[in-house]
Amino acid sequence: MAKDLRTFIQKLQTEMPEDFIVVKKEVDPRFEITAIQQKLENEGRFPFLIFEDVKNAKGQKSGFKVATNIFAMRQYCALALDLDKEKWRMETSFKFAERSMQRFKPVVIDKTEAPVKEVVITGDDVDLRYLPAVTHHEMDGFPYLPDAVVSADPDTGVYNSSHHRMIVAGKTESRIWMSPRHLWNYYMRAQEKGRPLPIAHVLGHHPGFYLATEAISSMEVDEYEIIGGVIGEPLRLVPSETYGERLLVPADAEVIVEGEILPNQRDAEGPFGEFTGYYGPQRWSPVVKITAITHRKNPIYLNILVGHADTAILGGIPKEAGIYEEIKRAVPGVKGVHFPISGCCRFHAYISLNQRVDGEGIVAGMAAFPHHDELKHVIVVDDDVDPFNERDVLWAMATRVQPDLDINIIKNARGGTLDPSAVKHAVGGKMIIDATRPVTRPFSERINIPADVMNRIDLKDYIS
Amino acid sequence: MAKIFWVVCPKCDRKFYANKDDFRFQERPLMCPFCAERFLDKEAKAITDSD
Repeated sequence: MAKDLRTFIQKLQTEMPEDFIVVKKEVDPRFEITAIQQKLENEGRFPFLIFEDVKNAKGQKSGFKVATNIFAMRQYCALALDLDKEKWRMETSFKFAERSMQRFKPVVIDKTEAPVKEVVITGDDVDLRYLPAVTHHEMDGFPYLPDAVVSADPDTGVYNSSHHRMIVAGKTESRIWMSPRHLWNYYMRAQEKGRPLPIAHVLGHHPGFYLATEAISSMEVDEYEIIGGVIGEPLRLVPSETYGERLLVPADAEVIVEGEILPNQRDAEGPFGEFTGYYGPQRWSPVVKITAITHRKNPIYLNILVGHADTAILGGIPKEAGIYEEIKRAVPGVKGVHFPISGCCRFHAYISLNQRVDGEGIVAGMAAFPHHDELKHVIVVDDDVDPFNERDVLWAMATRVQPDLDINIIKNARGGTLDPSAVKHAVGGKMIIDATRPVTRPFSERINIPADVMNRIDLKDYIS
Repeated sequence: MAKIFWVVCPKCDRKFYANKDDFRFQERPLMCPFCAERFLDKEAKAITDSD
């Protein structure tokens, strides 16, 4: 059986039943699902959720289940990469790095074998409003499709997969926001020829599909091959309804929304609650005409909650492994890299290392920045500090940093497009805080309890 | 981030913001996320520019 959302849900239910919640009561996707997630988050809880009875955008019963929070705990991502849930720290990032270097060529199967073709909607019957598309935050105003968009390079046919917000603006009308990366590049080249760019929004697949979508690769690399590598088996594809073999789509998805980004047509889209925890502004964005919807029977619509742990962790894990490799070339003693949720898993990195000579902490910080333009603040700690324990990292900063000596600021570097604090678009500062102990100067010792006593004390013998 | 301006919808009086380069003095209709009203920046009930 091919790996898909359903095989993963089964695994999650078996491995982490305490974090698996089924909601049977009817919910409205307009704010109710996200309100439930927010209330759980306020209690420090991030369970995987399946809503069984969800209305659609017309206020009718949709017939779709909605799954969400699939990336909201690193333990879920460990399971997605076939690790034990206990190996959620750097092991998960290393496994992602290892798998994202694998390449499995996808296989194309017949439509009759493709689960996503169990229900095919084309022509006048196509209506986005029948989906249980979630309206996340108050100023979003409209429902959005928040998962992964796939497309083939209009010149080479190489596939890209990337995360984009797509507004549900009408029966067959959507608009898409693209940062100037690979999909945008495809679109600009198609537009220069006066052609639409065929795309498909993949709503519900194995979580490895979406983790792989966050892998940073060159535009020449076929991302369907990377997705296969991360999932651990060739991705099964099937010709799309609208474009046939010109646009192959994942056969084991729950829902595929096919469409085309129209050349030289723009309309208002947004605001949208972004990964930063702020609304991105309304923009004049390319118009997407929806041409077909295909889905499984008893479909499960996967909603990735943007601006919360769900999307933060999804983006963080793939970056940690990449930055680790970059730093290791310059500083062999690097031990771990963590993009914490407090920095939206984009803006802050905590790096631990075994520093052999003074100054390696700064070098490690500098090596981190080129890998990801949104990264702003790096805190480098010694390897006695756990970069996955934020309290430990901030303790190191409190006790090993003199601001006038250990903080380095770089001005006017390339930055993220959505950083609300940026004064110039996509340009900003970087900061390295070297919270490592000096190598060449005597330094205070961290307090400790003798190891032999710690090892022989079992709390159960003393405290019931 | 891109420069933004706050705008008050002429129909429902609620506030949202938009990308300045995309909409300010561009004759492109904004879309109120609260009531779906379409209007130009000059038709807004109020505007607060970033500079």
